[in-house]
Amino acid sequence: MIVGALLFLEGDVQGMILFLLQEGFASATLEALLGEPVNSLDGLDEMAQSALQEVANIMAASYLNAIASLTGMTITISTPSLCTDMLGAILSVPAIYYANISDKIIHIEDELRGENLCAPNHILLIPDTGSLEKIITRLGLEL
Amino acid sequence: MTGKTITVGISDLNVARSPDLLVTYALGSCVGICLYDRVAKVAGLSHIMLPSSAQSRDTRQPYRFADTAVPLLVQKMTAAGASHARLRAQIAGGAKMFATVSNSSIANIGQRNVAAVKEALRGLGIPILAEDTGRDYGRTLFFSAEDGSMRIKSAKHGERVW
Repeated sequence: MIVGALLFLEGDVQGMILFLLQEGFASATLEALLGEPVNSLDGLDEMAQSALQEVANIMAASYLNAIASLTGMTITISTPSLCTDMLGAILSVPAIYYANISDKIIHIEDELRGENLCAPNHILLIPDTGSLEKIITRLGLEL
Repeated sequence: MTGKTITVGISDLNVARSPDLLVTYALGSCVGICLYDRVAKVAGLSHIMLPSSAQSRDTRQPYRFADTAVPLLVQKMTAAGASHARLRAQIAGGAKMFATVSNSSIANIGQRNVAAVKEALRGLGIPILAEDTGRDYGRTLFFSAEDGSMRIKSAKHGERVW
């Protein structure tokens, strides 16, 4: 299973951003935050859910702030929605929404490193038509 | 005798004969439609993403929409020897994967897909024998052409056979 955190973007860039985190990484982060062991990401209580949402929120804000300052644009994010399930099922949501609009998205692959931690994760930035072109042009690239 | 496994991808459909198995993975808000003729032992599986082709500017993907995919599936099955009158349906999927999304067109897509599939089947006079739809989890669907059974596997709720 994968943890998906979905957020909506407003401002100069409209669209969605989807964080895909490995279960192990999400559990370890949650354990560090809550100070108690996390057996399964299924059936988390309200506090744990809230903590996980906050992690997603902080990650999203960091990424979007970086993209915003690189491109000189203003981007705001909604509160994250979480889903822990099969990757394909999670992906069906943005895929359905954007099926008719666009066939290009931005895929960011990264790795978070800490003391005993090395966690790869994937981020899908799915802008509306027009927004993608804006980002690419401002980054000095060509579509 | 075990047959081969035929994978049906997203926005895709296919037909199989006994003893083959049709499978489609990770149905989230998408809906999987199983059609079976138990006399001819012909099975069909369609994996749709959206309710209607009307709002789409893309005419190259008829298998993507419930209103176009279901009739095409029936056509393919009758071409393979099935009888329309004997077809029975079982459906799965159409979940609401992200519980707290406030954008209604995203929050309701699973439900709208299920409604569109039921409408398409009703229009073709095909009764629905079983459904495992809605709720909030992803499903993998195995559909047997040997006996018309639909097996649903999910990450959080185990397995069940219809």
